[in-house]
Amino acid sequence: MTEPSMSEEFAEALRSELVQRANSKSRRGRRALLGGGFAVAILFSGTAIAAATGLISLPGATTTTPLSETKTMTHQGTGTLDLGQRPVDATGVALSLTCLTSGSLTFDDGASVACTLPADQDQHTTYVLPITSVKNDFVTIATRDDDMWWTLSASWVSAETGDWALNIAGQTYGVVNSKGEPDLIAVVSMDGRPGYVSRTDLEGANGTAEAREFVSPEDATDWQAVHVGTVRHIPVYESDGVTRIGEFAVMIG
Amino acid sequence: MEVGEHAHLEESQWHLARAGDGAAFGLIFDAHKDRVFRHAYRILLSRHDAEDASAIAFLELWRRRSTVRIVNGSVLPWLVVTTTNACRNLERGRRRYRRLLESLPHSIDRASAEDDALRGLGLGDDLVSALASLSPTDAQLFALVALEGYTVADAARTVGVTPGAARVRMHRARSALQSRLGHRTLTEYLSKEMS
Repeated sequence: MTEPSMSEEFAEALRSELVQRANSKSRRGRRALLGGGFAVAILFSGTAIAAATGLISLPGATTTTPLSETKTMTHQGTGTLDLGQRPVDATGVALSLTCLTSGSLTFDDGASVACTLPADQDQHTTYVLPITSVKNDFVTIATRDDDMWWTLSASWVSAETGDWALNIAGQTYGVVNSKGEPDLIAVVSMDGRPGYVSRTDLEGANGTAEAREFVSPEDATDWQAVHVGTVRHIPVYESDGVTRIGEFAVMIG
Repeated sequence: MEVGEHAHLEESQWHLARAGDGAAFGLIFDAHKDRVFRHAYRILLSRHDAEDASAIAFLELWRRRSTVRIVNGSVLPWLVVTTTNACRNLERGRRRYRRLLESLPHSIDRASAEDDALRGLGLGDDLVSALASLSPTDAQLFALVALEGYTVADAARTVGVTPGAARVRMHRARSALQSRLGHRTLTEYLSKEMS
């Protein structure tokens, strides 16, 4: 007997309702994020910078307004998502990337996400890709791990970046943004507490400071051969830059 | 991809969905909607009713996400059990989700010749009432094993009884249904995925 199936119209409408229900839980949950903790480290190319993601109320955070419907794909290995036509006022693409298995993923601008622990696989990484890094109307997620699974949701957005705050010692604090890095960079400590790492500590830990001493490409290659894949720990502070509340792990990518 | 990786993938998607990732929940729906619908249709023999029962099962999957039992890395056994319950208590489920169900674009029932023959035998109504005559646990076990081809051990884990108890319950359910349904065609139909 030919088994009947759910009509496409019914399935599509029901699917849309279910997706919406799950997403609305996410929006409610995000308000609790600062208290609940969130631990994803993004390692950016070049000057390896750690940033807290999803903490939209932090100083210097970028607020985004969606300009298109969200496109989603789940893929294994390197893959490209078609975003649809670029709105004229788009300033970037908001991405939500989730590792489904372990490995490393790289965005079009060279930023990368490493998911090495089972716990990483349950975390979203949200990120706004600058418009200048978007090729045509596509976003590519590249990986050298051909068997790695991931899910990407993305939409065109217009983004506005806020100002960093100043603490009593005159240090800027907040999130890494298109203007650069504040003196104290927002992160979440290894035990899930939101706080800040000093830019100087971070540069010392991630190789940026050492890289300034390199005099030849061979120096960089030699340094990488020794340090890639190693993890260093630096202190996490309150926004005063003095009160220590935890540790942050930096992996050399 | 290996079967084990499928299971791992679905478990990851389920964790994401529970954390509020609508896209991941959509993928779980995509993976199981046909199986869930087919299960409901076999019991109810009406596209319209089977669509409602399937929708209720997926809506319940979301509503009861914190207590859903994962078996072999999949939510499907839980969905099958919940679909069976939704078929047994369709009107009650419809009341809970009335506004939403009314807003969804249902199919028009157009049965195939074979569906008509089975309908002529009264399978849909008989099976619903026969399942309704069983205890909820017996009906769930019967649906998982006889209609969906799960092993008794997996079905037992899904409904939360020991495999030994599940076998006793299955035997009791099968006897009750056979005496109630009787017809050879129906017995074959119900047993076709048992082999």
